[in-house]
Amino acid sequence: MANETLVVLKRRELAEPWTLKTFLESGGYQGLRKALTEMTPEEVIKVVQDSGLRGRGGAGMGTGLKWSLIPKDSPKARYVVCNGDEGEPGAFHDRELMETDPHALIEGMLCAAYAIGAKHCFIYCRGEFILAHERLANAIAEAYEANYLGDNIMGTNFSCDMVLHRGAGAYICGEETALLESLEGYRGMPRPRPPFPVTEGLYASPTVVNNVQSLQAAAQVIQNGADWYKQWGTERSPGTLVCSVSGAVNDPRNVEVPLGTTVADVLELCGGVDDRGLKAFAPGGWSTPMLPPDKLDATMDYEGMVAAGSVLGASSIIAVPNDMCIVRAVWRGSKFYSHESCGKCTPCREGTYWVERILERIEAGHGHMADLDRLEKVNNGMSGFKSLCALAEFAAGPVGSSIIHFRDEYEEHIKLGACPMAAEKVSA
Amino acid sequence: MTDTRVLSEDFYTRAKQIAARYPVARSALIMLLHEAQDEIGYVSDDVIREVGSVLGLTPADVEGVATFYTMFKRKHPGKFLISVCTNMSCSINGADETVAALRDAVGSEHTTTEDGTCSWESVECLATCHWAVAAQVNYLDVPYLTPDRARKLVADLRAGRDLDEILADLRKAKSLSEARTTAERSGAANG
Repeated sequence: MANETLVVLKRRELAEPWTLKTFLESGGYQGLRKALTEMTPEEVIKVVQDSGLRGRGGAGMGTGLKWSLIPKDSPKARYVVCNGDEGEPGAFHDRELMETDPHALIEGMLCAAYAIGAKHCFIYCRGEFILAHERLANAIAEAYEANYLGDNIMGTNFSCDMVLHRGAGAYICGEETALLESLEGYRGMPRPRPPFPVTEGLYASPTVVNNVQSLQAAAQVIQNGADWYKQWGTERSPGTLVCSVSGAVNDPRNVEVPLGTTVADVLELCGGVDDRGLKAFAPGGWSTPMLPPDKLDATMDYEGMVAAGSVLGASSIIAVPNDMCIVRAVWRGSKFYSHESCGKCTPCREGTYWVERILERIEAGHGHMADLDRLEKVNNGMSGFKSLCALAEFAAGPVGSSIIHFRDEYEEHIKLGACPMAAEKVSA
Repeated sequence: MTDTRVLSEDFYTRAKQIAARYPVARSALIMLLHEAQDEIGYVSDDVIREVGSVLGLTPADVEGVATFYTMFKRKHPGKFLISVCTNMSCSINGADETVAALRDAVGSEHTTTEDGTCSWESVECLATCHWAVAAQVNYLDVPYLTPDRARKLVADLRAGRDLDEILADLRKAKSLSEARTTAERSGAANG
């Protein structure tokens, strides 16, 4: 059986890991010290690039590559923004990482700021995360007090400020350009790209937007080197990955494993599927195409998940049990996307609206066989990057994949004129 | 003008400090709406006007932003707002039954009990899926909100029991199955 490999979660069992005291006693701020005192910004970017660390927010872009794209000659201020607006259904690792190890996030952000020449960092923490917000606020105050933030950090020429910002309930703000709009005080609606945030991000200035886990991992890469990080994972997906595991499992929790670990092994670390049995699973949060149990040997890495017919996404496995009606589940998911669509782009606004209604009709027993073709047609209209951001693609994922793998369940609803599982419950 | 303000002097002092943290003051808008809502209980028309006045924004501009975000309430909820996640991992683990229990104990969604204490709402993923059915009371996390625990939560809040104590009790459960069995026992004991 696979073991956990704790890198970004390494402090989870320590006493009060969120305090500066515990953080320093367990090697904290050593990556930053090394960067500021022994390395040039270019060397910092290079080691992160050499490590192969890829963004853990969903898109999987190389973290070091992103840092390297900040224009060297821009006269504008540069910014580092941490995306702590975790809201993907099934994902809860960034919340745990911010709650347990806020100083590690500060350290990662400062390393990024040093690498790109930024003097301002912003943490966009999801509005509902009261504890994470409190721990981050305390950690930032401690860091200022101990000169890890502010002027001449650790006695060097490097100065940097950090602002903790709160969201207010909008899934779309996890999308980086919507997040930037929100951080500027507007409705969180995505921006057209190009320009990309690395050239015109916050206040139309060069901005790096990184995920919590990517930043925390980057600091350890800088401290320990690229080869150290590459001892785990696969050639194209090096390192470790925190997977959130929930749904029909016995011990739902976050586990950190090397990339390339099979879904079966990750589930095993969480006590296995519970006695309801596994009907399907979404590997990267609900927005990633679901897979049937015969794909349990698929690996949790960027390439492995694509090969299996899904994507790694937010590396958050939702185990769907046998007693869950797939149509009902996909319908519930579709309500989420139509609620969270910001309404800016027509394919997403209209597509999510109609998918929800068609699924509701099928689940209620009023569907027609033609609805299945209609769903696929609407799905095609939503996907293929026809909108400014990926929300419509996310909405399409569960619908399309469920029709591929569970078409018989849809047809049964339509033929029976009712949800067969609801009927079972009534007769039982 | 000052006499008709609903937000405290303290709010205005903090608002200026918060706005000063950002290179562009408008960035503080969401933070100030949070501060104001914490003070008044909801985002009233007065709040919109006064927050706008701090940042030099029109009421329409502020209202447009406030109504985009689900945490900002344009109507006063009860003293305690119970938010229950009905997204996937929570649906898999009984969110529909919890919602039914809340509807029974409190009334329909977004209404408030007659005594003004409790409202409830169904929300999207709270990122505590390991605690399914995940919930919050005034945004403070509650694990494993089974129907029995939901009914007891509402009764305790309406009885005026201290929120911290209630939360501490609810957080003792270490798994969904433990929460289910403990609630049954205490339900039997307390009627």
